Amino acid sequence: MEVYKNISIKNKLILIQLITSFIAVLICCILFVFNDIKTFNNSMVENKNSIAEIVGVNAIAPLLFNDKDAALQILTNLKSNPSILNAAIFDKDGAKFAQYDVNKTPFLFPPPGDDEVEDADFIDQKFMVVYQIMKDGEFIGTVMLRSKIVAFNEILINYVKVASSVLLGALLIAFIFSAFFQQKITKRIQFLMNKTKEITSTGNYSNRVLIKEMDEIGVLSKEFNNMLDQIQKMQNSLKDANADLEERVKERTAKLERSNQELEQFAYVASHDLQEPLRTISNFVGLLEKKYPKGGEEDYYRYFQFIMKATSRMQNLIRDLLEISRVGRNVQFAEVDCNKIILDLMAEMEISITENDATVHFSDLPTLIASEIELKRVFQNLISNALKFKNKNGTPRITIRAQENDNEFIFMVEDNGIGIRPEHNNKIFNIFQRLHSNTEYPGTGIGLATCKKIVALHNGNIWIESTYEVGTTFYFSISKHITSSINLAT
Amino acid sequence: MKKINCILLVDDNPADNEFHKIIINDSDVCNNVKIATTGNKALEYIIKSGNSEAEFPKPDLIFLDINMPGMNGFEFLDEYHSLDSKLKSKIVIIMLSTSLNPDDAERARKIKEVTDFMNKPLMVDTLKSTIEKYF
Repeated sequence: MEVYKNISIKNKLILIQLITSFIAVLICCILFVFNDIKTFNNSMVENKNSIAEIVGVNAIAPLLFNDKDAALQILTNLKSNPSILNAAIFDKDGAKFAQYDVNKTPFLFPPPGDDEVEDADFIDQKFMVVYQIMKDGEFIGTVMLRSKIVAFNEILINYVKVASSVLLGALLIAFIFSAFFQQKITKRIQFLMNKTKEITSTGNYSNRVLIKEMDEIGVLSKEFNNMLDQIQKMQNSLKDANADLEERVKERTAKLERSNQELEQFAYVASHDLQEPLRTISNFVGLLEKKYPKGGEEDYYRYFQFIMKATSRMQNLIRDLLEISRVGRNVQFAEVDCNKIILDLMAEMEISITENDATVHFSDLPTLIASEIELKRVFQNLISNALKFKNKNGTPRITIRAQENDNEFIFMVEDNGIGIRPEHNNKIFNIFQRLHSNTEYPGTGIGLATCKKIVALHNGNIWIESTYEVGTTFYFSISKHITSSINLAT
Repeated sequence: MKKINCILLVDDNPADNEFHKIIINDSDVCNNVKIATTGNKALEYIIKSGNSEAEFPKPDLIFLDINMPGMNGFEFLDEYHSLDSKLKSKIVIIMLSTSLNPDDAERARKIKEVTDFMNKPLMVDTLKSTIEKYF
């Protein structure tokens, strides 16, 4: 059955037709054989019956005249019919009158009138016929003939031969015809199958199956076409919806980009232009400060100190604002060796590192695609933070490491500084977010926001792990697939 | 202490000009401070100085602002480039800007007439060391 399941419909059809024809022809043959045997037997019995009748009629005179020799003579004439094995004539009292035996061995006939001999009997392929001799309506005796069934076996074998050749012939013809006609069905199924394959492989749902005949396959094809109609309709509406969505996303993106650009432009211009008047204030207050030195007239010096501090703080704020607004402007991504970045930074920050008695360790940093200026700025911010927020007791130790996975590089900048309380973990990346007073740790609160923006520009993330008063590790990732639309980077 | 004859300040901002003038005077590095509030006026002055150096002393050093309305610092340099080389001889040009944009500094360094790039404001110490350096 397992084999049957997997053979093609074409072969299944042929097989089914062959089995059907085989069974049909076999039944026919069997019926024919039985019928023929029956007919043959009947004719044989009838033939023997008429012989018995002839013998009976001829035996009337010998019986009437009690001439046993004549009766025997009549029986002996049966020699010409070799199928008759034994024959006997009985008188009206049932006494044997004459008997003939082909093989000289006398056959013991049952007494006349016994039921057993009424009909032809085919046991042992022999049979008997009985004829009652009548003369003018009066019973005068009985004839019994015992005959063998002539060549029954040969006839039977012949029948089997004929039947099997008919069977074979029928099967052959059935095979040829079914092999030919099954094509009419299987070809259409195959056509439907190929069409389905074609549609699934090309995804072209505008394809249709041509329908020629409205049988089951035709209905199937029609429904298949209907299904394709629906899929196509769905596909089209999906396409429309997609296009619509894409259009809207595009619009929204353009809008966002525009407003982002405007915002950055604003920040840039504002901070740039704010600097100028501030510088003038600072310049001239500086001059005044010199004119009214410490210990001079009234409290001028002190007031100028306040003004100078305030302007210098504002200048720093504006400078940092300008910095953050410039992230992503004219950015260029290229291959960058991070080891070189750190070496450069260590040279640039040498004074600050030495002043703080700090050590910076790094090993095996990767070479990757990034914006060198921006990446350098991230490291610079993180290192100077580590120096700024050092533990009061102990010298700063900064360790820079990197890991690589399939999609990104992850950098770690670890320090042994004052640490950050967990509740501040996310706050610190907000612009202008400061956790300390300006006198404690001076700064504008823009450095980490700038780092976050730069990392986002590299399709990455920035986060920390920190233990308060023990140290902080800053993590940031740089994607290997930088696609970021610069203006949406925040 | 070195002392040069003339410094020309090219800047549209009067407050900056005033301040720089004070700084230059305080640091006592030159005899004359001239001011041009536009690029055109600066070009005119240079040409005039070629004609009558007594009235218009030839600048030894020009402090050139970048952001100016009309003709900006770089446009001024384009014009300056086509001046008679006699007029330009021995003039040191230092670009002064408030701009923190590294592109400006990069661009300035590529121009052969530009000797240096500095950020505003000028201070007495930096001015003195600059004079020491270039004269």
